[in-house]
Amino acid sequence: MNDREIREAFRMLTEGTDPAEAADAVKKAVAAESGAENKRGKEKVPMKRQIRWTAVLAAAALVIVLTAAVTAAPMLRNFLNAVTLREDSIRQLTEVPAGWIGVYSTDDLDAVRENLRGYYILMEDLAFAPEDFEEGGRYTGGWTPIGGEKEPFTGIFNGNGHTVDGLRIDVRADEAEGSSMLYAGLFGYVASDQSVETEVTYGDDTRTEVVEIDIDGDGILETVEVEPNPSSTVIHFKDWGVSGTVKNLRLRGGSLRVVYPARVAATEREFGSLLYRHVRVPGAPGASAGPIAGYADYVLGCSVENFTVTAVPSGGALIPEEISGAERSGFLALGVGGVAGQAYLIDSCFSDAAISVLAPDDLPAGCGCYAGGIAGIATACVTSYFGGTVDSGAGDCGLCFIRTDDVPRFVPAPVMDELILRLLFTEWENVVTDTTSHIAYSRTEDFDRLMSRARKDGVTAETFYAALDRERTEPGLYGFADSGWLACKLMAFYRSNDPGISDIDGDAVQDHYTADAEGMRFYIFDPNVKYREYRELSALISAAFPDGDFMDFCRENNVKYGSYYVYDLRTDPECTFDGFDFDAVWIRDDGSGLPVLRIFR
Amino acid sequence: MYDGFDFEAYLTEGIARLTGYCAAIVGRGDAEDAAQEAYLSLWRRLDRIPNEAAAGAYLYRAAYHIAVDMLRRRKRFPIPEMPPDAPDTVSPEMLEALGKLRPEDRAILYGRVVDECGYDELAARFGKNEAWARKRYSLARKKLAKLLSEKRRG
Repeated sequence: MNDREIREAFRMLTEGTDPAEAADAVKKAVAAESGAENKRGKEKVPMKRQIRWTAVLAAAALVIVLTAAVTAAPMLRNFLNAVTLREDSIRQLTEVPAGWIGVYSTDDLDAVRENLRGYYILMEDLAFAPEDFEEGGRYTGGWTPIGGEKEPFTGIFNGNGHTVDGLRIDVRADEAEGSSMLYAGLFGYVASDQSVETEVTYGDDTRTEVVEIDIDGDGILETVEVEPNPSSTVIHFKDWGVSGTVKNLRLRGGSLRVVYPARVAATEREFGSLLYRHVRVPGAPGASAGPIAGYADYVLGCSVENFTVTAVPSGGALIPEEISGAERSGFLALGVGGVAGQAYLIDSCFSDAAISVLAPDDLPAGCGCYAGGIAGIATACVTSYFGGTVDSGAGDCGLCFIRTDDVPRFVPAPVMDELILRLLFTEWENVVTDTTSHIAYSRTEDFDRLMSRARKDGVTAETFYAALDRERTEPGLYGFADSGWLACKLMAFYRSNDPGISDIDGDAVQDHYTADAEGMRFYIFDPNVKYREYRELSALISAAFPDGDFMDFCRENNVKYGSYYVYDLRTDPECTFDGFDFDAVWIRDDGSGLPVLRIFR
Repeated sequence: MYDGFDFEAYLTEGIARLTGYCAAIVGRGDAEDAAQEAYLSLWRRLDRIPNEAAAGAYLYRAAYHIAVDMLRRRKRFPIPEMPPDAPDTVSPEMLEALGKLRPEDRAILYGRVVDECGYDELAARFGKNEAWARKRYSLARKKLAKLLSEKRRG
């Protein structure tokens, strides 16, 4: 393989284009934009651009030119992400849609906590006064976050391009009850509706019922308890992924303060034997804090401006010095972000929050502290900007720390095909070392060759069961007779769905993709999966992509998974916002140069 | 941009080269649209670009991202059929192997082999440094060789 071969091959791939036509289209579009700018009465384009051709400014000619520009550049409309594919992400609605609840005042906002399943839409800008949070004020001591871990907000809150000014949240985790994590923000905990319609059989009678699923502490489904047990596995998903959303909301000029406890356990050794003595600072085992939400499944098109976010440890010693030989172990978890403390997906958001996380002087081992400009921790953070500051003694994770042990909820067919193929030729074994045992995954010796062969034979997620059957009748065809079990396990966690089936809300799917999901075949994460099994699924995905590039692969297949097109304006103030259709969703603010979502204009 | 910068001349002079680059990433069907969008994007930001070198770097970065977004919608790189008068140096296996590369690898190979960029210019196209460009180019060649070898083995 030499350069000449490569060059000739590229020439064959690229010949036949007409650059002159492209140049003409650019000139027409430039002329149209120049003409449109002049009509709006803005400052003329500086002469230093030296546009030599004369813009056609007559109204009729302008229409013709604009039409030609659109015709010549059809792709201009196609670089939209999920946020922009909905009309209500670009323009404010002036009427409350049927079935939604209008929010017109801070009292209405406070009332959201009375109905955590509602679909709310903000119809006015709201403003809190400082005295609202003082002694005797309406929200003495600070705003109480809406929804918590046990009772999350599972509706939708559409900010509708409106602003909430002056919100103050002040939460002391050391005063929290119970042993749950503390979630702090305008919303405490925002999660997708976990209702599932399923067929339930009572004797000879089968009917469809809506079953509510208990939500595990961090939003992962634990169990589905139905009495009596259902005898059918037909499951219809209701609002899966659409609810549990805060969108198009701007918070401005507020503050969020969280006092988190440093909770540790100490092990004391005495005379060669172990005595366990737990030293605890009372309160929650950790906190997750962000202006929009402590935790949210989906935060779309939100802006947090001129906000301060502070997390400080509560007073008291971490370890009493008088326990000799004490070994420290910590189980503090802290997530702090400029938009959310933790999230599943953050899409098209902006924050310039001043974030400050004071860590204990001596952070015990095993503590996880994540402070990020956009989020402390997220599964996916895309097309967002941060222009504030992060000051964290626990370490700055940049814009957000991306979770790699999470699983995608909607998996498009090409990604599932790749997962199945890789797992078909991955082996696993139980490894026992001394007193511990774990599962180890490794690829078969002929991994590349067998993958290539299986691809050539058209083995996909849909057809791999047939390939397994072939292997049984023609042993040695692929050599994966035992390893095929891993692929079976993966498939068991998902349900397939063909395009056009109306059980799934199209918007729910679209949130997960940058491409148009209509007509796409995908697999849905089964809500019946238990927490322990969820972790197994995560391990299988890691086994299929041992180099840690699953997120890259998802991105290449339009799945919002991981971090991309997320810009840190602290290090790149001259960011040119390229990489996606910036202008469809954002505009440059003429004054500050910071990006502003169009819906807030 | 500096006084005296002639955008039209800049466009006319560079569009063919950029279109070829875009075609290497997304295929010739969408190459013109991608190149056109990249130039428009540059034009809208001219006030913030200090000189021609920065313009070139911005242009190719923008073109790369635009072309990759287009490619995502297509799902795969379009491989054309071999014409009967194709030169002996071009094989169907090579075309397929190039099509299977990641877009970034194709863009780097094209920039180095076809556009004959130095590593500094190649790096600027991606907003990286020269060491990155050298390493990525080397890896891209290895990947292509491996793909080609697999195809030829069948």
